[in-house]
Amino acid sequence: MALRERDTSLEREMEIARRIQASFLPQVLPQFPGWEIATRFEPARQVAGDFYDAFPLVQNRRLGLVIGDVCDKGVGAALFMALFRTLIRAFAQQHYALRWMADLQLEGPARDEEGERPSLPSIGTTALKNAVELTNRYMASTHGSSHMFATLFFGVLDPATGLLLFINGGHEPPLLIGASGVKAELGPTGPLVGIFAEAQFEIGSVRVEPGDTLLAFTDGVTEARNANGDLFGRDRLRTLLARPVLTASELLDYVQAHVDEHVSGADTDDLALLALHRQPG
Amino acid sequence: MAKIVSVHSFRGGTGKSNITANLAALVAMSGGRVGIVDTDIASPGIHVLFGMKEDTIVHSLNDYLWGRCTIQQTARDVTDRAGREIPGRIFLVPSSVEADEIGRVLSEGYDVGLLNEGFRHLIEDFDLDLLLVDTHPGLNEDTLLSVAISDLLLIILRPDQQDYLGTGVAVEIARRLRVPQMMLVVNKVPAVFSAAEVKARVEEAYGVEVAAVLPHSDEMMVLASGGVFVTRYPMHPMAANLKPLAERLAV
Repeated sequence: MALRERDTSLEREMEIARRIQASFLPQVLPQFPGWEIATRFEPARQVAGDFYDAFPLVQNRRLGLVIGDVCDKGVGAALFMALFRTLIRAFAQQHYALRWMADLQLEGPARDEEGERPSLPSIGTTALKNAVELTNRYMASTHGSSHMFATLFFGVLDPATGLLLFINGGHEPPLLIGASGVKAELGPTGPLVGIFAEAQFEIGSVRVEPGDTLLAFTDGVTEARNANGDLFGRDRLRTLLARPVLTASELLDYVQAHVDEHVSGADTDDLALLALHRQPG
Repeated sequence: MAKIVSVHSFRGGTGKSNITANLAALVAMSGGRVGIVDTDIASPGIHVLFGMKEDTIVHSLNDYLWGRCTIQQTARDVTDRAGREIPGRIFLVPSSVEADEIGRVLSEGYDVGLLNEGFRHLIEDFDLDLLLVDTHPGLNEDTLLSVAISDLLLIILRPDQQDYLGTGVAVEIARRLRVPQMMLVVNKVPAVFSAAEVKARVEEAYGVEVAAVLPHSDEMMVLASGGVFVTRYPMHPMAANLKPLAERLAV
């Protein structure tokens, strides 16, 4: 009897934890004309270390997109997921940062071929740098002994031009999909987040053209195993994407159906997917 | 391609905004299209020189920073306010003088990338030859960004020990930011000083060209920012002193 009560209590606590974690994911995704965002989230257990986020920045002039994966699964990962997600959002709103000055003093050309300074802050770069570098520093210096770190992709999109600035901290490279399949991989621009307090993160950029789709995902997709232990794999994912994308939501349904079919009842990892589709002009 | 010139002084009261407005007028008098951005958000004022009343400012730089309008909507053509029959154009982006607006910038900050992008939009959309950035005295993030973006940094100083000290800091920072060109303007020089001697000593002290030595002017003090001096007194020695510098900015 006591054991059953304890199990029931534990289940109730886990259900509460699941609901609280769900509240850390955006309840409503931001809307920008000409753009569609879709997400999927499947914890391996009741709670997960994977997360995603999408929020407007700089008075709706930019869209922030985040996908992350805290190492490990279950309650511990979920607690740190909440922390990572919160810090990223909060630090992205902090404007003061003079670290770009240090970049300007580095060796190299003071002006690029077009006569502009390559490392000057443009809209969104302060948010990116603050969010990732300050989160990294806090996690490494305050929670370093927990050995909990995350892979993290944070992109800042200019909806008017399609220019996406991003930091990829050791995360599975998101894929930019065009009419004939994958046209770019947004590879790492820095290390895992939360290990080295003084780690540097560079800013990458890519342009999302009309008709293009950005697919970001956690390793729950590529490392999904079937009963024989075979990985779903990145190559298979890329093959799946060699077809036109109609909508972000349709793409995620398509990818998830193939992953589910591959896994077919075997144990799964946490899984998160985020797609950003620019409607054809 | 338009030239971006930041006009800066380490300390306040050097006549920075006055010189900015007068240089803009001189370039426009030669047919140039000039933009002025008042990035002195904490203590704005250059709009006063163009006779712009605070209650007539529909959109300020602050409105752009908070996403209430585009940068293009903040620019106002003030050519007629600078003087008559000016063949060029002067567009001014004023900063708000409302206490709440100033306070918000100081407390919340803003994405400085907005300035970078805003400057470029102004240059393109108004087909500018020259963009003058009236900076906040001292060093803060938006001033440093303006300096870093500039093709030329103009530092204004008075013959004053505190100004000498501060100018040294500004010159050092500008060198570290690798601003392509830097010039000094010594303003409010007492009549008893030799302009040539002041120029030589300041150039030797900083290793930077002194582009103009401007004598203290009673007429300018009497005008008290009530207008643009060089259009009111085009034959005044002050105008003659600033003209060669304006010609260099216009190139």
